[in-house]
Amino acid sequence: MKNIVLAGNPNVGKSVFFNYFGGVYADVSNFPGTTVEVAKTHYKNHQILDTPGIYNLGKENDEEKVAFDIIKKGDAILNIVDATHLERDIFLTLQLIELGKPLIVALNFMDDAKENGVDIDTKKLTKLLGVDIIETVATKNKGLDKINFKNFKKGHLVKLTKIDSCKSACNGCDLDMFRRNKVDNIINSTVKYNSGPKKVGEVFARLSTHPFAGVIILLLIMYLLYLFVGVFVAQTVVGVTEETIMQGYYEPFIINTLSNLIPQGSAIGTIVYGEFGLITMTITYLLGLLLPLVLGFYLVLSILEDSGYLPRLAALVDRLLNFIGLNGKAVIPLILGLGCVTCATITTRILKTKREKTIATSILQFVIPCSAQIGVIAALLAIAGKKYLIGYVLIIFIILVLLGTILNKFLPGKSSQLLLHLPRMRLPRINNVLKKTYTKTKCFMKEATVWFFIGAFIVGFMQVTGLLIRIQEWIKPFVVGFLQLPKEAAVAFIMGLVRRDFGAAGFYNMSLSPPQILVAMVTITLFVPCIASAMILFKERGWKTGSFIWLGTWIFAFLIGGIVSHLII
Amino acid sequence: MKTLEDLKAKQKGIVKEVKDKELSNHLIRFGIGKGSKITCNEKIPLGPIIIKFNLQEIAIARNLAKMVVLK
Repeated sequence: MKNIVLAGNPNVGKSVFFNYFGGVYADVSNFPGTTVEVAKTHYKNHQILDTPGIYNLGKENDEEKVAFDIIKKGDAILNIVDATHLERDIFLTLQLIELGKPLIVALNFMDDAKENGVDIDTKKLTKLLGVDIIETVATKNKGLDKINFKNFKKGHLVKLTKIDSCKSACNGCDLDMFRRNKVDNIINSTVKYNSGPKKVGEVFARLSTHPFAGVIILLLIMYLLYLFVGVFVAQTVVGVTEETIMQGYYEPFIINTLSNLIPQGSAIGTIVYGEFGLITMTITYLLGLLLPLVLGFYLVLSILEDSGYLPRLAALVDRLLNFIGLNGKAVIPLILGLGCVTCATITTRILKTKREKTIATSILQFVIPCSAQIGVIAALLAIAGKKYLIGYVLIIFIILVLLGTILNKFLPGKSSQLLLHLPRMRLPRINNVLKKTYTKTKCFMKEATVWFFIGAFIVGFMQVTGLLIRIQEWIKPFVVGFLQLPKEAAVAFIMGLVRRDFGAAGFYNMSLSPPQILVAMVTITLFVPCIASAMILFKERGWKTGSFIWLGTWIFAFLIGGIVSHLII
Repeated sequence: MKTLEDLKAKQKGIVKEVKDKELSNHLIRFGIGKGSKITCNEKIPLGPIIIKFNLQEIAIARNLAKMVVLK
């Protein structure tokens, strides 16, 4: 058995190859930095290891460190390169050859290369590098069967002695120059760029970063997202799934059936099918409310991801993010946070400095609501009216800017400047989009289900033991006096401790006045991150920064909630 | 001294020198160094500059673009 490592620049299709070899996890995206965790699979008696995309074999950032470690352990390397810009990708290939490991190069995106008028002399390239080169179009499943694991070869170690002596002499810096010259010579004699026809993707790419058209496109996308998730899914679809199906048929059916077996009002009865019942409220929230919302949101997000729009957006908003100590790249974790804050916190690894990671993580944990939460919030604010919806967006936005500005001012160090490779834009492929939506929704629901049941059990248990009433009375002066919400709101906050969307959902069936809805939604948005998210927070940022952020959300949420309450109620 | 920052949208230039060592190291991995022909594809007001090099597109912050000296 051999360890075969998939290596290459970001966004060259490694994850598609990984899927082909039987790996199931990989989230295929059209932006760099998707593969942050190591994944492996087995294929024909070999172990296949995926690596994060890198431009350079070194230790300059997290991705490089992770990738280098895996590559060093591998017996052979399948190097995937993008045929449309070999002058970039072959640089890494050369470094991999220098390592002295057996290699096969997969020349991916051959279809794009041909369409764009790139002529590649594959035979000559094979001769110059001394390894097998296979032409592939991984997304269309072309050429992958031609990759023969018996053909791994060590490449031509051109002037290795010179490289070795240079390494010790100049710490690797001018070595890059040496490699560059070498790559340029190879490319000049094997690749020719002819002008190709302009494609739809290219035109859209131009427009998306155009100072005027780009902003219009962004606003249009946001409006469509609101119409689809906030109006269609959160109101029309959820109206059917939650009210008609779950509360109209499912819950009465369960209560009727079970009340014969377990007496209504008994301790077990209350926990199982009472007000916060495990198989009544919990299932309703999960299937009737959460599932359609998360599905709808991930569908839109997957289309945006697959098209390659997000890096363009990063360039467009770079200047704005500079004000809060981030660069355009941070838009990727921030937008992913609108899907799931937990996953997005992991993605902050693509940011360069510790300072940027801390700012982005804080914004995610403090202000960004996740898809499920947005759905519930949108539905509730729709009841309250447009005025309150706009108010909510404004308040959250102001807090985001304030928090970012404060952190930018007081955190030591300097943030990095934007230098980002923009992948080609393409029409999203239905297959890819559906697969991605399914994987992400499944992942989200799996995690949510566990915590929802735990949360419902805790609340149900507290109800049976009378603890719930006591806590309600206990924090009543605060909830009723300071936030000016009904005392039942305490339950929603307890639920929110487990998961914020669960907490937001807790307000769903409470009778609140429109201003109260706004106060409740602002408070629950800013409230502590859900348990899973908090665990990732501590893991990624460490105990010190983690505790600071976590405790901060408590104070922040109730303080802002109280202020808003006293301003409008 | 003309730098990448001075290019208007759609103008072309040839790289003479990259003054920042770290930036130079990064650009060299994309294949951009002395003698590279680059096109300014877009200039976002006050924001980054988007350059095209062969079929690659790269967004570079203004402050970094100042470091790229052109012929």
